[in-house]
Amino acid sequence: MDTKEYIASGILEAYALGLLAEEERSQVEAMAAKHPNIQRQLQEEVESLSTFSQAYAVQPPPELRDKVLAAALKTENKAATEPTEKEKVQNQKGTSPWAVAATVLFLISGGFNFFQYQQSQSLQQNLNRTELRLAEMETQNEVLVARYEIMEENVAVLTDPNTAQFIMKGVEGRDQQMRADIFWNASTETVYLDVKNLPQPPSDKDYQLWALKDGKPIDMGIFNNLTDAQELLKVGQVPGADAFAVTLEPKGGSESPTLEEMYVYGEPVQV
Amino acid sequence: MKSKGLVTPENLVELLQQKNEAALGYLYDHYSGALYGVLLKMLKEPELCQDLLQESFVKIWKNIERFDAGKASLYTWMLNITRNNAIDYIRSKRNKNQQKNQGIDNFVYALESNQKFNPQHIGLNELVKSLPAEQQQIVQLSYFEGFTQQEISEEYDIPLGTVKSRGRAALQKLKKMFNQ
Repeated sequence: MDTKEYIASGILEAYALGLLAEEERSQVEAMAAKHPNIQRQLQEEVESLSTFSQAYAVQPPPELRDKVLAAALKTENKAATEPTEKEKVQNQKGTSPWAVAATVLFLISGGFNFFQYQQSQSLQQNLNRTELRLAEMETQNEVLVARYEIMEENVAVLTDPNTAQFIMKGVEGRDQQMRADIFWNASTETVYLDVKNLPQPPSDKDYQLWALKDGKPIDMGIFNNLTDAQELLKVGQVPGADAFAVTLEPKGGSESPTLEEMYVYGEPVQV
Repeated sequence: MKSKGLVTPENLVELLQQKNEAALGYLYDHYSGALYGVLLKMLKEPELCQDLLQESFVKIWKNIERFDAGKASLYTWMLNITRNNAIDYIRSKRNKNQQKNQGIDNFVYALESNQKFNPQHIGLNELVKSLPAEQQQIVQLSYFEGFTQQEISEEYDIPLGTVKSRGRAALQKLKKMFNQ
């Protein structure tokens, strides 16, 4: 096999990085054993990574030194020679300033990290609060804009000279304080309902609005929620009406009004 | 002839192979930081890494006769023993599906002190950081976490060919940096 081609295949890099599975590893080792130039190249890759690994150097805790040395010496110590005093002194001299430096650096950088961590935590919290507040305000704003648009439309309807007003009042036999107004815009033919005073309907019933044209009732839809009574309720369109009336009908409304259940009735206000 | 003087990089291996205790101390003082750093990078938990460091030094001391300076540098040989130790541990743990990711990256500080034995590596960290993130990832997973290319491809959903080419590109870049 061409060794140049083998080297160029990238398998040596993969070996050095530990990317290869057991089987491929042994193949590479066998190739390296056979071909000195592959061996050399492989060594170069491995040494690069060794060098690279030194970037992560961290001093172990100083007290570990004695433990490790004792453990190593315990295993096999027949040929060992006692260190001379000079060597002992030198070893100690060699170690302790670095150990101290390591500890100091560790403490400083640990403290600094903690400080940074706290700072970033508190910044993060502020940011979260601000974002939450912003979201709340955006929601509020949307609600207000929607309200404003409705109000604006209401004002436009009410001030439009083409708008006719019908004041529906309690019919005979009903409370005379009952009242609901209709605004009908002739140019858009749109009907707006303004409930001023009607009792809350029972839960199995709905109010139904009727437009009366030439004596015939036209269904203008049902309503039952009177809580938002301050706003004009856009209920639909009708080409024209002589009068409007509200009856109480079974849930969902009726095809024709139940006259006995009429609550309010009104004809156009003459200007 | 027994050397009574200084342990130096030149006579270190010879003294170690004679089981000279002072040489063992020298070995520890000069290489424990680099090996411990790699262990922390691989396993994060300081106590565990200290145990593995001790285990590795015991193996290094026991097997020092087998070290062949013609095949690798002493550090690389030691690093292999240490990494294999850690990878064995990681693999047995991964098999038990117990690997907890503890964010103790804060403990990993490169200390200047280790650069005394290899002064040309000042600023190494900066060089390494200049690798593109996807290449760093491959180095991290393979070299420090013991994943094979097959495993990286499967677990991280990266095509096998891409894993290979990224690993290769990373190494070529590192080599270039170190040989400058």
